[in-house]
Amino acid sequence: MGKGSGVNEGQPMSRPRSYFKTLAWMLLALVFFYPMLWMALSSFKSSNVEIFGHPFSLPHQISLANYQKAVRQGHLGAYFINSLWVTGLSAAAVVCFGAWAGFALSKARFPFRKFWLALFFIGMILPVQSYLIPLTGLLEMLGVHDSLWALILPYTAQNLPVAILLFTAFFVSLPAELEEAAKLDGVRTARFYFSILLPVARPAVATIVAITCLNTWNEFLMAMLFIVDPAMKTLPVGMIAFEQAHNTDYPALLAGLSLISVPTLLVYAIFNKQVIRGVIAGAVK
Amino acid sequence: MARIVLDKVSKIFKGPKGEEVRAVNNVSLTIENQEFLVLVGPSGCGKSTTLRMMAGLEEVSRGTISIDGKVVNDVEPKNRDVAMVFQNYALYPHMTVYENMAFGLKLRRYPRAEIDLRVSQAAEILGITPLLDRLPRALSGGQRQRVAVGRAIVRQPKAFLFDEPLSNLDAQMRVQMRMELSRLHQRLAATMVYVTHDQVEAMTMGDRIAVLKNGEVQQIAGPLELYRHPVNLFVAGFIGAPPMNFFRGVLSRDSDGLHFCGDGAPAGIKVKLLPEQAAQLEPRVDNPIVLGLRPEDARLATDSPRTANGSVVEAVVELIEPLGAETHFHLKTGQHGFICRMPAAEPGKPGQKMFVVFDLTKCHFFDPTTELSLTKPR
Repeated sequence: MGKGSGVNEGQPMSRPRSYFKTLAWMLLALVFFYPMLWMALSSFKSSNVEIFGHPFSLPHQISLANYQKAVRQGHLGAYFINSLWVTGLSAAAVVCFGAWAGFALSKARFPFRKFWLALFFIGMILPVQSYLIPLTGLLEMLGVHDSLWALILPYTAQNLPVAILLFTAFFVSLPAELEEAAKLDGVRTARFYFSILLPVARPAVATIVAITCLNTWNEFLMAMLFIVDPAMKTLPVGMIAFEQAHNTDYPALLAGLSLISVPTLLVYAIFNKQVIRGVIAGAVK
Repeated sequence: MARIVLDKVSKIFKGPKGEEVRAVNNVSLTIENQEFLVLVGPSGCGKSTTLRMMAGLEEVSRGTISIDGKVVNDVEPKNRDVAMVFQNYALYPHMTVYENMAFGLKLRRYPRAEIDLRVSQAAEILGITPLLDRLPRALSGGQRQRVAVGRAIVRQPKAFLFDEPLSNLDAQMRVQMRMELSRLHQRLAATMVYVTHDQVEAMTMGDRIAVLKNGEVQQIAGPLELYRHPVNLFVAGFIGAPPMNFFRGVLSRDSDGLHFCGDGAPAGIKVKLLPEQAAQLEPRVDNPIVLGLRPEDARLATDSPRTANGSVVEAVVELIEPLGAETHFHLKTGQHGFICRMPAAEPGKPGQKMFVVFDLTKCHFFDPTTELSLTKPR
């Protein structure tokens, strides 16, 4: 670093500190990354003995046999389609209703506005176990028990509070002049929402899509409780097929888990930048 | 183009405890066709609210607003045929410059060729043709404000409303945009209403200026009329930089006529009034009064100058501000502090005793209670 540059003066002093910082970040990244790496490497190993006998070794030979077994025995193909439906529809509904509610809560003036916002907030802090039993009754009453709707509806409801709060915060942070300029341009409410607000809210939409996809794709408890029909099961529940009382087929299980992790990693890779922008929206101008 | 008339317009907001807050109080003013009227005043004086009521963004609580003879109190903003330029530009961030400018026309279902023509003409006027494909985030502050003005121009509205459009720009860009907007007004010959808290913008741009305080119009006049003949203490102090000097004192009679004597002991100021001033202020003898004098209407001298009318005051230099083209002397006499605007080369140093000659013909006198002007200086 040139001392004469003026702008960078003082930087050479902080060099060792910045190396240390980088090293610390790399270590932290490794802590998070290693379990995934271990899962992927172990999924190529031939037996439980090879996995647990030499947990840190590389596989003796690379074979896709475990993956074939996982797809066949775990019915990953059919479950993948189910998970795709459940995740896709839930995410779409969460974005749709979350943005509408956020729009109303941020822009419209109506009685008990803060009460409604608080009510949605409560949805975030309720533990799932507290409403599993009444939810079962409700789904039966609606006649959707043991169908994909038995997951889509609760997943949507479960993810809506975060979406509503995020959209409300995002819309509130937008300058009021944007709406006023649109009014003078002759924009009506619906047009304002679809042509201006929603495109501007892309970071918030991406964040909500990513969060909802991760939550619903990996959800296990409700998927196991509400779905009995084998044809309706989702991927995480499908993984149970490899777990038996006395013998769990870990190579196949890890191969299956590796496979079902791919879409979530993809979602994160695609929306990564937007998610960060969405999460810090309103925090910085 | 349009003539806008505000007739006894008031805007009443509900305060946090349900109390009434009058942001605008009984404002009546007429903006003539093709006129550039500036609404100026300190923050919270109701100037932006008045403008927003003209645009239809705020409801009118009392009174009427009419554009070209038609009352528009209940007309939607888009149907008033006015365009507004905001302080923070309010460009649609996901649309290109072209789309931003064309959006309003598209909604009004103008043919594509007409939209293209209007946008390219407006872009040409504002010098933003090379920017048409860019997004707002790729533009500088000045460029963004030009796009915001362009979005207003393409609509060819009856009137343009500007809400502090230059406040977010740096000083240099503000001067440039000020000139461009004045040129634009001449070119379009449109009715324009411009809100600002910057009295330099008001003085340089407006055909007429309306000075507001606490939601009420204090004075409406041309820039020079406002500067030379302010109707009250507020206008006198608000217009002009540095502001007018005020001296509180009493009007007293002496053997050789009426004098203004500054408050406090030692008073330091004793100024003999001109015959016509004395005639006007005769009924106020022995009453408190405020003397106002612009910084450029006093002259400094190191030796006691000989003046026939006894308008010389002795003062001590407290601070000297050289500005290049001129120098501001901060002086003190008795308990009165005041500023003199002098040529750049004027000698002097802090602590030095100097003589100040007041130009009596330029003195203003105000009633300290009503704050109204009592005389009209020449």
